[in-house]
Amino acid sequence: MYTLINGSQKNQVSNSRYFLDYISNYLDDYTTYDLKHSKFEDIINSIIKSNTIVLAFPLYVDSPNTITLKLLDYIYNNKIDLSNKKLYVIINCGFREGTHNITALNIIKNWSNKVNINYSGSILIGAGEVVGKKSYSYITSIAINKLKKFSKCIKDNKDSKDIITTMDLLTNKLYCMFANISWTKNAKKNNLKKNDLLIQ
Amino acid sequence: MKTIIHDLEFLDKKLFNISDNDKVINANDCKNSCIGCFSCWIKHPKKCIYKDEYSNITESLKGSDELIIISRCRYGCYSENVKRVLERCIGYVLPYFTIRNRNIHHASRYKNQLKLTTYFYGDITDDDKVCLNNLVKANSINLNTSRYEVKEIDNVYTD
Repeated sequence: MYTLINGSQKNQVSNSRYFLDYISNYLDDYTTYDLKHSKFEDIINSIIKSNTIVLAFPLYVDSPNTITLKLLDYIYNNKIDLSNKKLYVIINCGFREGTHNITALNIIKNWSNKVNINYSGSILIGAGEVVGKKSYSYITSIAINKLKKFSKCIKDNKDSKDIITTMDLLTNKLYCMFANISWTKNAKKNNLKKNDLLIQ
Repeated sequence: MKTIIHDLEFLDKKLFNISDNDKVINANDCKNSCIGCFSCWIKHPKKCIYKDEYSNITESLKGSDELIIISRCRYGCYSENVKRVLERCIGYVLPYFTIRNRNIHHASRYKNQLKLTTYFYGDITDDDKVCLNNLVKANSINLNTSRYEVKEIDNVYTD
């Protein structure tokens, strides 16, 4: 049995949840929890019954977001027995390069050592906002293929290396340009112009 | 002026050279977590949607020349409470991206550059130390600070 945990704090459907749902297509017996709307006790009960945990969260301030840290603390402080269980990790960030997620992953690895869970691999996704949107299927195909490979590792109970995805089809300059246009477009929905966002 | 974000039960101002002019933020009292709505970027720039004493941290940082973070170390990361406050500071930078050190980061909102000084306490392993250094360095690059320091302390009062 698998316990899939979405660590996103967003009210709307999150990219972390999208990646978990993608992986769940490869699994038979799983339960997915949104941390924001779930009781920790329920998640722990599911974890205890599971062999494998898949934890997905967004990168915030170069590290796991607060609600994910809260779950890590809950497990650590309550000395939940996680030995013989496998942990796979999905971290996504809005930057083009998945390498931004490495520091957060190392924090999870430190935690894994302290709670004796078997860390079994990760996928560190760059451009998470883009990869999580199906409409950009061509430019996201490389990342999605890596996610597929990662999913198969989870399904087959195999360890995975730490996979890093970067939006290779766009240069840094192009990615910045498209992302920045997108921010201005989103501001317009709130009747704000670019200069309004730059307020000092 | 300095802005100090901490999670101590008692803050020894002398120990950290804090004056009455400095802004001290006790992270233990912050109850509202960032919900990733990005309102502080694209709806009400610089202002968090929550109306509490943490909603205007950006203004405090704007007027500061140094940000001091004092936190219990948790697995090589900030404590949950300190992290909650830091996530509510993202309005200090712009939503727009820029290229810095050959990687993409958020662009600076302000021209002045903060110094970033961090103090960590608690049970800190060698692996934690490596993580803390990498974390604070990454924060420093993203906040575009003039410099950063990572210090370990043990003589603090906590619960």
